[in-house]
Amino acid sequence: METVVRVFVIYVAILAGMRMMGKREFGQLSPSEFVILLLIPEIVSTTLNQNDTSVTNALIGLATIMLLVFLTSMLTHRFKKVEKLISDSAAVLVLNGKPLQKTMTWERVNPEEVMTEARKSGIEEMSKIKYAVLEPDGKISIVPMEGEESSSPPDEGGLG
Amino acid sequence: MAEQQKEPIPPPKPPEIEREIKFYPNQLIGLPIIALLPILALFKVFDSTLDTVQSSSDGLALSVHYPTKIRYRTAEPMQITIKNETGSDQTELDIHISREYLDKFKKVTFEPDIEDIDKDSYVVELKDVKADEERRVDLELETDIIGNHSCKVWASTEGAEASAEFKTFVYP
Repeated sequence: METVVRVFVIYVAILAGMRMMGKREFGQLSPSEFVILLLIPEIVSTTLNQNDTSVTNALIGLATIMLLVFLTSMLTHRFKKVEKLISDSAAVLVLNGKPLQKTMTWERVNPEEVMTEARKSGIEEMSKIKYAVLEPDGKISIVPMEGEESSSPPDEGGLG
Repeated sequence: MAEQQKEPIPPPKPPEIEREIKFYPNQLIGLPIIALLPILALFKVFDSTLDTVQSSSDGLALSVHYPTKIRYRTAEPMQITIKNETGSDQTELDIHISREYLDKFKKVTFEPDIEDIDKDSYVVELKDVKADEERRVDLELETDIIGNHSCKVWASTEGAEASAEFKTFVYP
């Protein structure tokens, strides 16, 4: 019983903590991927190192976290309010070529970071960006102005 | 003049779809199985449990508080209580715990300590047990072997013997 309660409390605490920290902290991972990657090794290592090293305990912990992740995704899909509560929303950083300073400040993104992503899409000036969007997973998406369609970066390993 | 920005501007919204929950056939089978484990755990199905077995014979009242279910590599106590109801003082009263049972545990501690290990049992000797006196032997058992283990505990003194039997299940 204790294992289920412990896993539940830690899962909710990490999910709430990551939600409050904002998008920038996730980097390449979505919040639930981060929680899974953080918790499963913890459960396994607890089983290996602490008093209760039983397989029963490990299986209960594993099943609990899997169930919580599934329930979270199910509820966020079904209910918009839950989705808003758990998942961060995307934020526009650049709109019609103009940086939105307040959003950049809230989200702790510098114009140079936006331009780094823009250059990957073949855009060299901010004025040619229709939208730069900070996605919930922490990545920046670039939508070019019409007529400035992004070109894929050259294949470095290609023959040219 | 530009309007004061109060909160982040969201990108254009995607079209809404009907939000409903549907499962693949394999999820309909797998999810209840996954859910079963935590649910049973919440109802303490996999928790360690203790029980008491009592036996009275020839003026000896024996009571054993023992683990019925215990997880692998965890420790649980066992208490053996014996009351001398023979009506006379006993200079020596032996408590036997079956060796077959205790040998399945990784670590066993006794209080008071054992005096002897014979072919069938570990023996704790209790000296000068007065009439109507109650004595206790405390053990701590750390599991090692998974499965159902049978145990017999018996108390013996001159011309009197009482015994109790029980089983302990060790989870993997």
